[in-house]
Amino acid sequence: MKTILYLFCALAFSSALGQDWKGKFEQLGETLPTPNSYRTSSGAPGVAYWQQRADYVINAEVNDQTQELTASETITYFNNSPETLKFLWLQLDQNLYAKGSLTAKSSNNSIRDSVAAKSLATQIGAVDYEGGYKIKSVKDVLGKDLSYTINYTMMRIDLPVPLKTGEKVSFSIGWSFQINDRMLVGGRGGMEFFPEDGNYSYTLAQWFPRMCVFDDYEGWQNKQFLGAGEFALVFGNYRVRITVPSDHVIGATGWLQNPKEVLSAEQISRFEKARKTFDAPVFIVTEDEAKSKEKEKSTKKSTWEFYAENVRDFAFATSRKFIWDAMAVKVGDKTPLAQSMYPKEGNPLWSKESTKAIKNTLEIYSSRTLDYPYPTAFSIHSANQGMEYPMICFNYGRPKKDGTYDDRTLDGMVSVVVHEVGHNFFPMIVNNDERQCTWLDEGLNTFLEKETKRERYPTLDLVHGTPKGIVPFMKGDKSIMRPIMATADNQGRSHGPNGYTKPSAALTLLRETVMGPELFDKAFKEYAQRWAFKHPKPADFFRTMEDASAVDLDWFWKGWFYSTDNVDVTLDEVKWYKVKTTQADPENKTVKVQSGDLNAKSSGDKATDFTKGPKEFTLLNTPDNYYGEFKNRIDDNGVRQKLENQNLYEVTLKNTGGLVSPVIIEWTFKDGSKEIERIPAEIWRTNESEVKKIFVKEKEVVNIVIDPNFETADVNTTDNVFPKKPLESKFDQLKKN
Amino acid sequence: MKKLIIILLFSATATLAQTQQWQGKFEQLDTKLPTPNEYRSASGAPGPKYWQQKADYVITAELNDTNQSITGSETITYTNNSPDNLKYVWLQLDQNILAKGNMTRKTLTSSMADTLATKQLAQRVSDFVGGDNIKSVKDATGKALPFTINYTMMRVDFPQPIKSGAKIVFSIDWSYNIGDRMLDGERSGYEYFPEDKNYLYTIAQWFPRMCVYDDVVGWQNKQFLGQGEFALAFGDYKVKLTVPADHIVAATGWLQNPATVLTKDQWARLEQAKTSFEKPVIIATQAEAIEREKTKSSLKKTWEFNATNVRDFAFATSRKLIWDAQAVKLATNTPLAMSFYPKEGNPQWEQESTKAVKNTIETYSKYTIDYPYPVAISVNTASIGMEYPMICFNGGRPNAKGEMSDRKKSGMISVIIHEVGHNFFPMIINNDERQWTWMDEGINSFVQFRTEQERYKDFPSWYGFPKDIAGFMKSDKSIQRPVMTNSEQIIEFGAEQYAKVATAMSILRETVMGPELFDKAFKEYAQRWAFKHPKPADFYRTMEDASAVDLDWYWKGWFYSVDHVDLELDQVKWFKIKSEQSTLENKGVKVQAGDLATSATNKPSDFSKGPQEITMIDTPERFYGEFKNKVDDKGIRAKLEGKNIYELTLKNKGGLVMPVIVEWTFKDGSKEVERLPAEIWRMNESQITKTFVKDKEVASVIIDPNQETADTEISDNVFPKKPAESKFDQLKKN
Repeated sequence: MKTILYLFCALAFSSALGQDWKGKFEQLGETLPTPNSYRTSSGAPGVAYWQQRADYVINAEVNDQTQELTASETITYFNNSPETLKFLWLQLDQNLYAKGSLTAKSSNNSIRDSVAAKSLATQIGAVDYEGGYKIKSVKDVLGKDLSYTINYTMMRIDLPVPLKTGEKVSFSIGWSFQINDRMLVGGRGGMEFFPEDGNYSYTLAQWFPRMCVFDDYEGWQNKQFLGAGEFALVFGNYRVRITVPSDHVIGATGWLQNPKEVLSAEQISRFEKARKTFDAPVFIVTEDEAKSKEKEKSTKKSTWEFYAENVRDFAFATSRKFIWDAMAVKVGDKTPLAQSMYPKEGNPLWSKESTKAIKNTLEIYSSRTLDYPYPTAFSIHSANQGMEYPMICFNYGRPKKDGTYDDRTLDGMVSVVVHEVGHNFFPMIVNNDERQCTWLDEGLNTFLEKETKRERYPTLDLVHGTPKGIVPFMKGDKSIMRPIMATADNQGRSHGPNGYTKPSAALTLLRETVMGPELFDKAFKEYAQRWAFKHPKPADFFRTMEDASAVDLDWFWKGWFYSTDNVDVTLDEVKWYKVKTTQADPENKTVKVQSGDLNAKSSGDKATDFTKGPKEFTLLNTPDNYYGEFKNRIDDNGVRQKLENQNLYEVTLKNTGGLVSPVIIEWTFKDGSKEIERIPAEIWRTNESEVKKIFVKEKEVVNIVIDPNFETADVNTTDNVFPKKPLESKFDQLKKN
Repeated sequence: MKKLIIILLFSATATLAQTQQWQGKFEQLDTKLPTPNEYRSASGAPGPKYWQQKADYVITAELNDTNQSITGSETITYTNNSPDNLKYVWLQLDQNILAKGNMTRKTLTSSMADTLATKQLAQRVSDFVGGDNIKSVKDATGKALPFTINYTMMRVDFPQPIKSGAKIVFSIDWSYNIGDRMLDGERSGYEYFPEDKNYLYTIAQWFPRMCVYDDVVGWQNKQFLGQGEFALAFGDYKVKLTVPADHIVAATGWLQNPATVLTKDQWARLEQAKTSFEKPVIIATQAEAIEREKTKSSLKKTWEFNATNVRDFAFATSRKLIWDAQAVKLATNTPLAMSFYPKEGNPQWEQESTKAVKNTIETYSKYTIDYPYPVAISVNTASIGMEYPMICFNGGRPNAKGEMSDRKKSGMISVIIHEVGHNFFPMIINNDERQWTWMDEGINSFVQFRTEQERYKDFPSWYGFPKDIAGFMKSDKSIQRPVMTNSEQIIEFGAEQYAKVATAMSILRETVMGPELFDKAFKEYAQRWAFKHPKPADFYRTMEDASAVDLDWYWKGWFYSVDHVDLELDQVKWFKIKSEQSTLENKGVKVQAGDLATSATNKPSDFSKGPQEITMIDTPERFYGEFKNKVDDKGIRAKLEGKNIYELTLKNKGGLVMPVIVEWTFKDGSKEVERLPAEIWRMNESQITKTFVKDKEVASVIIDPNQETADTEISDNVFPKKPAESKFDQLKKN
C-alpha cells in the first residue's frame, strides 16, 4: 500500500495514547515454545510425536487391623521415545507424609492466639503418623537388585543396560505404607474412620510407585510433589489384585475380572441387570446388607481382580460399609456403567443423586469432547474430599445425622460428583501435566462442570466459574495474585481461582462473548479429540483454539492467562450530535458550534447526561483534496439528507483495568425499545487504553449501558452507564443501614 | 481436585503481605530456554537427530627462529554431517586480531592519564606487522577457490554446495609473524630471554581453523574480539613441524617420529616414563637444556604429531625446554602427564607441575569421564594461563634465587590445575566459548576448586568458598552482568564468569542438592556431552533430569540475574502454650486474643521478656467438616505443653532466594542445625514466617552459621540482635 492511503487512515485514528504501548494485541510469539516435529504450530501432535507407556501388574493387601497397605508390582516400561534411557524416575507420592518432607520443611506458618489444637498440631508436625513408603525391594526380571536413589518424592532407578529407543524393560518393586488418616493429616485418598460402628472406609490413591512422565517437552517430569501441583502420569494397562476383608466391596479403576469369586450369585445377577438398565440405578449391595456387614466384621479375606486398559493411574475404594448401585449410560455406540458406592451416612442423598450425576456428566462431556471410552465410571462417597482418578473418584457431600440436607449440601454434592467424574476427560484422557499446570485440567473441567449444571441442573448455583462469579477475585489484591500460567505449587492463595474458576470464567467469556458457541464448541472439541490419550501442553490448547476457529486469541491468552489484569471498561464520555440543517430555524438550535469547537478537550464540557440536547455540527461539501486522482464525485447533498435528523453519538471508552475486552453496548431509546451492539475486542488494537467511536441512531437515546448482562467480568460496572449516576452520598448510605 | 481441599490446605499456611511485586522467581524457565527438539532433547541430552561437523587437518609448517614467523600449508577435509547443503564455509583467522585496522583496536575505548608507562603506549608505535597472510586457497585439484576475509573470519565459496553427508577437501597456504606476548598480551606468541638470547614459542590459533556450524547458531562466525574465546569442531590432526634441530617440541597429540627427533637417551627415558606411576622421569634434563641454549644449532628437524578427535592443535617449542613425564593410572586409560619448562621455572616446576597434572587428571576423571587422550602437558611460559587440547601454557616462576612465596606457588599450582582441567571443559565437553564463557571457565573453575581442596592441604583457593564471593555479589550492580551474557560484553569477567559460577556450582553441590545427587547429575552432563557441543540449556536440563531437583529458580537467580543473597533474621518470637494448671508465677506475659497480631510495636530483640503465652483451644466442629471421628485435643495439648515454640520471620533483602540454614543454640550449650530448602520462598519471595517447636529453651539463633550461602550481610542473621555499634565505638577503634 502507498503513502497517500496511509495518510487517509491516519485521520481516522483517535490520538492521545495515555499509557505506554504494551503490545496487548501482538502475537504470543516466543512466549510459546517453538513448534517442531513433536508438536505442530496448529496445536496438534506432530509427525514425530511420541509418548511412553507403562504397564503394571500389582498385588496388594489392605490390612484392616493395622491400616497398612503391603504390595508388590511389576512394571513394564516401553521406551517409545527416540532416546536411550540410562535411568528411570518413579513417583513416591506417599513420601509427602514422610518425616522431613520437602513440603513440611518449606511450609510457612505463624502462631496466633486461641489456635485450635488440630491446626497447631498439623502445622508444626506434632502428629504421630509414620507416613511414607517403605521400599522393600527393587529388582530386575531375574530377581537381581537394581540400584536406586530416593530424592524426597522421586526415585531414580539406574538400569544396568541403557534402555534403547523402541525397547521395553520390566522390573519389580515391593513396598508398604501406613495409610494416612485423612481427617488428621489430610491428603488425596487415605482412610476415614466411623467411630459409631468401628469401621473404616479406605479411598486409596497414589498408593504404588508410579512412573514419571518422560516427554518431548520436559524430559523427565520429576518435579517434586509438594502438595498443590498434582500428577503427571503415563498411559498403560493395569492388572491389579487387591486382597481385603471378605465382607468389603471394592470400587476401582477398571473392570472386575473375577465376580464369581468375590460377589454372591444374587449380586452378580443384580450387576448384570444394571448393565441393561438405562433409566434408574439398580442396587447391587443394599443399605440393609451393608448395615449387617458393619456389625459382623468378617475376618476372612478375598482377592478382587481388576483390569484397566489405557489408563494413566489406578485407584480404589474399599469398605464393608459400602452400598453399591449402578446403571447403564448410552453415549454414542458405547454403554458405560455408572456406579456409585457410599456408606449409609451418605443416604438418602447419594442413592438419589450420585449415579444420576454420573450419567449427566458422561452425556454432556461426551457431547463436548469425545464419547466416554472407558467401560465404567465410579463415584465413591468419602467425607471432605473431591478427588479424581481414571474411572473412579472420591466425593464429599454428606447429609446431617437425621438424613436431611440443605440446598448448599445438595449443590456441593452434585457439583463435586459432576466435577470429579468430569475429570475422566481432563486429565485422565486428555492427559496434561498437572504438576506444572493445574488449569489445563481443573479449569477446562470446571468450565464443563458449569456447562453440565447449566444444562442438567438449572436450579442449582450457576454463577460459579462464570465471568460474573470471578469478579471478586479479579478485583482483589494484586500483590498476592498470580497469573493463571504460574506453576501450580507457586500459586498460594491464587490456586483455587487460577486453577478452577478464573479459567472457567475465561472459557465462558470466550464461548459466549468472544467466539460464539458454534466456533468455540468446534474448536474445544477439536482440542479434546487431538489430545485424547496424549499429553497436551498449554500451547497446544491455545493454538488449537485458534487453528480450528480463525479467531485470533493471542490477546485473550495474554490478558487472561499470562497477566493479572482485570476487565474494567469505563464509559467515559458520550457526546450527542446532530447535523446542522441548512434550513434549521433559530429556535431549533440548542448550541451553535464553531468549526474546531468540538475538538476542544476541556473537562468542563463533559456532559454527564443528555439534558443539554445535541450539539450541532456542519457537514461541508467534500473538498477536492479528498478525492486524490479519482474522477467521480460523492453526492454531498444525498449524504447530507440521509444524516439529517439522525442522532450521532460519540462514545469514549477507557480501559481502566488493563485487560482488553469486547465491548457490549446496550442502547435504550426514548420509546423504551432497546438495542444491543457487540463490538469485538479488536476495537482496542491501536489504542489499548482509550477508544472513541461514532454511532448513528434514528431514535433518540436515553440510556447507555456497557456490558449489561455481566458477561465480560467487568470489575466495576458503576462507571459503565450514561447518563452518569450521581455517587451515593454518605447520607444515602447511612440511611440504608 | 476440588475446591474444598484447596481452602483447607492454604488458608492456614500461606502468609500474605507481599511487600514487593511478585517476580516469579520459582517459575519454570520454560520458553526462556530454547524449545527442545530432535537435535537437543528436553532431558538435556543430545537428541536422536543430533549432529555435528567434522574437520580433519593435515598441516605442514615451519617456524623461523631468526625472524619469528610461521609458514604453513594445510589440507582440510570437512565432513558435512548437517542436514543442510552448504554453499560456503567459514574459517577463523585469529591472527588477524593483530592485523592493522583490526576491529578490537578500533573499538577499544581508552582515556589519557597524567603519567603513563611506555609499555601502555608501545603498541601504538610498534612496527610489528601482524595478521595472517593468506597465500592461496585451493580445492583438491589445485584450483583456486574464491574467498572473502571479514576481519578474523574468512568465507570460502565452493562452485558446488557441499551436500548433507558429503566431504570436501581444500588447502590453504599462509604465513604470519609471531607476536611478542610481553607487548601484545596475546594467548600465543614468543617469550624472549635476553640473558641467553633464546626464544620460547607457545604457538596457538596459528592456522586457519574451521568455524563451528551447528543446529543452534548455524555458522558461529561472530568476530574474535579478544575476550570471547573459541568455538571449534572436532577432527583428526596430522601435523609436521619444522624447527631448529636443538628445539624440544611439546604439542597436542602423540609424537610419531621419536627416532628422528629425540636422542637415544631421551627416547629411552620417555619409554621409562610410561611405566613410572610414582614420580616423573626427566626426559630432557636441565643440564642438556643449558648446553643447547649456548650452542644454538642452525640445523632443522621436523617433529610429527598425530591427534585424534581434538578440537584444536597447539604447540610449544624452544631449545630452552626441560621435559619430564610420568604415567597416570585411570580405570580406562593410562595417559602420560608431562611438563616442559625453561630452567627459569626450576626448582618449583620439576617439583610441582607434573604432580599437578596428575592430580588434575585424576580428580576431573572422577567427576566427569576418564581422561581419554594419551598425554596431558603443562608448559611454563611467563604471565599466562592458556589451554589447548592435551597442552596448556602456564605462568608462575621463582625469583632469580629460585625462591617463590607460598602465595605465588599456590597461584602457579592453581593455574596448572585450571588449564589442564580445561582438557575436560571445553576441549572434550566442547561448548561455544565465543558466546558462553562460563560454560567452560566457570564449570572448570569449580572442578579446579574441588581438585585443590581434595588434593592439597589447606589450599588457599581463589574462589569456590561461598563467603569469598559475597563482596563481589554486593558490589556496584551497574557494572555487573548476569552470567548468561555474551562473553564480549562482560566487564567483571573473572569475578562473574569464573568465581561466581564456580561458587554457584559449589553451593549447588554442598547446600542445595547435596553431593550425591549433584555428582551423579554433573557426571551425567559430562558423559552426555563429551565430544559434543553442549549449550547452557543442555546443562540446566541435565542437572534437573538426573536429580529430580527443580533448579529453575537457581538458574534464574544465579545465572540470569545479578541479585545477591542477603537474608535478614527479622524477628524471633517465643511462645508457650498456656497450661490449664499453670501457676501464676509460671506465666511470663499473658496475651489477649488478637494481641499477637500487633507485631510492629511488639518486636523483641532478645529473649529477655520470656515467652508469650498462647491459648490452644479444643478443635472447633467446623475444622472437621464431614468427618465423624475427632482429634484427641487433650493428647495434643499434653504433647505441646511445656514446649518452646519459636516463630521466625526472615526477609529476603538481596533478592536471590536460597535455602535457609538455621542454627539453634540452646541454653545448655548444645546446638542443632536445621536445613530448609529454598522452596520455602515459593509463595512469598520477600518474606517468610515459620514456626518451630523445641524441647529446650533457645539462647540464640543464627542463619547460615557456616556461611555456605554467600550471604552478603551476616550481621543481621543473628538473634538476640547485636546492638549496632555506636559512632563512639567506631571512633574509639580508629
